[in-house]
Amino acid sequence: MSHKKQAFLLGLALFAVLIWHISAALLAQQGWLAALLHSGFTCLLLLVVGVCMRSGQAQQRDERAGEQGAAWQETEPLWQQLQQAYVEQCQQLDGQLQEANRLLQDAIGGLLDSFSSITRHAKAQQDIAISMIGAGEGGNNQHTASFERFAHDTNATLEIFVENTLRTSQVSIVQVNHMTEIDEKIRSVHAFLADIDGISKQTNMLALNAAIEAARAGEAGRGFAVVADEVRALSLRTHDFNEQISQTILSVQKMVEEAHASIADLASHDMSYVLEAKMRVQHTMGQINELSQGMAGAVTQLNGIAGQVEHSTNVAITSLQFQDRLSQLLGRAGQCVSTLQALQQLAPQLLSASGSGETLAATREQCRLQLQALRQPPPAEQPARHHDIELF
Amino acid sequence: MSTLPDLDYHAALANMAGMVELYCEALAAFLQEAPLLMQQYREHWLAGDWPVARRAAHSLKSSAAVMGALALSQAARYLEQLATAEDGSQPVLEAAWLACMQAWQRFTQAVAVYLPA
Repeated sequence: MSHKKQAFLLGLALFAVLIWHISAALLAQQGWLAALLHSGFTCLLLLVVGVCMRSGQAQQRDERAGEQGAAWQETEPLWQQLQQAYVEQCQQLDGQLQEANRLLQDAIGGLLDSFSSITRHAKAQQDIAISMIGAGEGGNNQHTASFERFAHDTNATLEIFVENTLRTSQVSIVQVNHMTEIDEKIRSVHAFLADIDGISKQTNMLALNAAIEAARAGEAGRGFAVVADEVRALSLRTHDFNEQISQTILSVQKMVEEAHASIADLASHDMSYVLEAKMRVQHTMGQINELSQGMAGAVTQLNGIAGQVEHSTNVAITSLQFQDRLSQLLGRAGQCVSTLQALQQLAPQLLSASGSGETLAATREQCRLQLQALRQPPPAEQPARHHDIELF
Repeated sequence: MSTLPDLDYHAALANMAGMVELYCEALAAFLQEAPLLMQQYREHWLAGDWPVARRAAHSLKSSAAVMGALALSQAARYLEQLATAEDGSQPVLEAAWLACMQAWQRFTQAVAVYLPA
């Protein structure tokens, strides 16, 4: 508003005030016409005051717009730099969020695979432990009972073995006595054979003497010579048989002596070592039994530990489900970044809007629609529930 | 001193009716028996067992005569006589036994050529 117009309005206001006072003075003295004039001047005064106030406000706005335009001219380059930096930071933030999401997915995937592998191995270990101790507690008892039965059978077999060994020793002693008697008999046979051999030699000598005497007798002793020859032949056969019997008896005596030595060696063994061996075996069997029971207990503990490991691993796998929730949060953070970028792009559009009022209105409407679309609330987040999580 | 031969082979073969084989068998038996008889005579003579000593000397005397060992037979006959007389004179008996051993040695040397190989 120009200064002239302001001076005009101020003078009109002063005139209206003057008229109003005059009409007020007349009103205090006269009738309805003065009242009507007073009312009319009052309205005029109010109108002038309103126009003046409106004019003042418009002037102030024009002044302020002018000042802002000048300031914007100075601030626009800085504003553009800030816009550019804002966009760059948003892009970096979005990239970092995506990288963090990718790393998180990779790490969680590796952890899940690792825990799954641990679970499989723990399960395999548990199966091995179960197979070692049998199926459940009943199998363990069966294992213990089976080993006790084995120890009992071994002890019984050992008892039979010891009894047979002692019996063999006793029989060996009897056999040694018998062999001694047989050896003595064989020696007496040798004496008999020696006597027979002596008789055979004497018979041979007699037959030889008879043959000589028969030869000296000449023709008369020819028959006697034949008899003497037969006697000598019998004597020689007796001698041969005696030699054969003697050789055979010598062989028998040698074998009997060897058998006697073997049986005597067997009978002379101290059978106490068998009893000591039995005691040692029983002691060893007891130790093995204790060791077996201890091993069964250890395997049972291993089975329990494997179960605990499997349970803990399942809990860890369940706990790792935060990956989905965290991925959702990172996704929403990315959406927020995108929203910020979109909002950041609306401001320049509004600032750059110029021209006719229709263009500005269209720009505003477009911005309003975009802002409304950006303010659409994200879909409600589904809270994680334990029973909804699919275990790996 | 005896003049009888140590070995009269022909007389011995005549005793065997000319059977050389019989003589060889008898000679083999005599070579085994004669040392035993001499040893037996000496042991029983030293022990004073005159009958047994005389029996041994008698067997040696007869067998030696049959086998042609005439000198040995004569020496054995003297031992038999001493045993029959029960003469315990040590030098006499030692001399007679030594003469018998020497006659035996000569006979074995002489008869070796007739032994089968």
